[in-house]
Amino acid sequence: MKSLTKLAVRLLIVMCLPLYISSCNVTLVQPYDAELYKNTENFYKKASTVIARGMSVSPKTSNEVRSISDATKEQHPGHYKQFKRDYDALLVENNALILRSLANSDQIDKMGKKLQAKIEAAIEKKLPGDCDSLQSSFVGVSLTTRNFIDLKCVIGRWNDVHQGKGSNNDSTYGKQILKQANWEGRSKTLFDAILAIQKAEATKKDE
Amino acid sequence: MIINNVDFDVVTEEAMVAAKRVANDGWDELVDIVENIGQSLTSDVAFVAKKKASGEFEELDAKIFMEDQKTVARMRLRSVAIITMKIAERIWNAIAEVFNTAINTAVGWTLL
Repeated sequence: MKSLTKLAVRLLIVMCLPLYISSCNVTLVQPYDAELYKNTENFYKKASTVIARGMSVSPKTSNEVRSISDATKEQHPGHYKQFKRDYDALLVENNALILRSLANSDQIDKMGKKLQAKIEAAIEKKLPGDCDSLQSSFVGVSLTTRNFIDLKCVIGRWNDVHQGKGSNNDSTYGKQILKQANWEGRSKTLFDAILAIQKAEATKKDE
Repeated sequence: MIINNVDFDVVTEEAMVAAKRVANDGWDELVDIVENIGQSLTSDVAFVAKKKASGEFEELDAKIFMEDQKTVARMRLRSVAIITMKIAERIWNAIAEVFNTAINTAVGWTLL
């Protein structure tokens, strides 16, 4: 056991000594950013407010959505037209989060960048989706930034679904009006996504 | 191994204590997020089942919701990876810090 310890010590010295010229410390993840944490929380508050309004003005069942006449659908408070500005504002806010995160992306060292690229490749292989094309337009960015890119993809998908577009068929029956339960699902998605982002960011904070 | 009165067996012990301390701190965070993943997956299935039973969700609504949750799953995996790498970074840096001091003392120069 003692000889094993000695071996480990020697190995550490041998491994570290050449590296000491540039210090033996490593930076595998993007450092904690208090402003990014705060801005993400503000984004959650804004998106939650939009969702709460959506829930309060939208019909409960598919039959209720179908019964809205084509002539009056655009005046309905749950119609896409009443939310377009909110989607646009959220996409702008999300872009600001991506920019903020990108600014700190290059603080990771070479080893960290390699590790993160391999992890991202594995995630996209295991869970491919419509967010991959947006992800591929960003090269060599951190996992922290990639989470904000996926968040933007989710908001963009919500925008499409509300318009009756997207990879699936039109779930609004041509009315561009969602149901309460759709907004409820979005509320869960938003909470889970922001929790994942904030949990990781908070962990980076040095005591 | 003793070099210039610096006992590197003791230094190794100190490095291990430092590493264990930072690993324990980060471990709690990791357990939290992994537990949250399990709870959320159960809650998602219960949500879809409840909305189906009440007639508020049709199959397409469930598909759209699950597509969103698939993206959330990617974000959670990244977060687990970030937390794990942060723990590894802290362990490595804690060990390096102990050895920096010991090596400088043993050699008698501020090399590191």
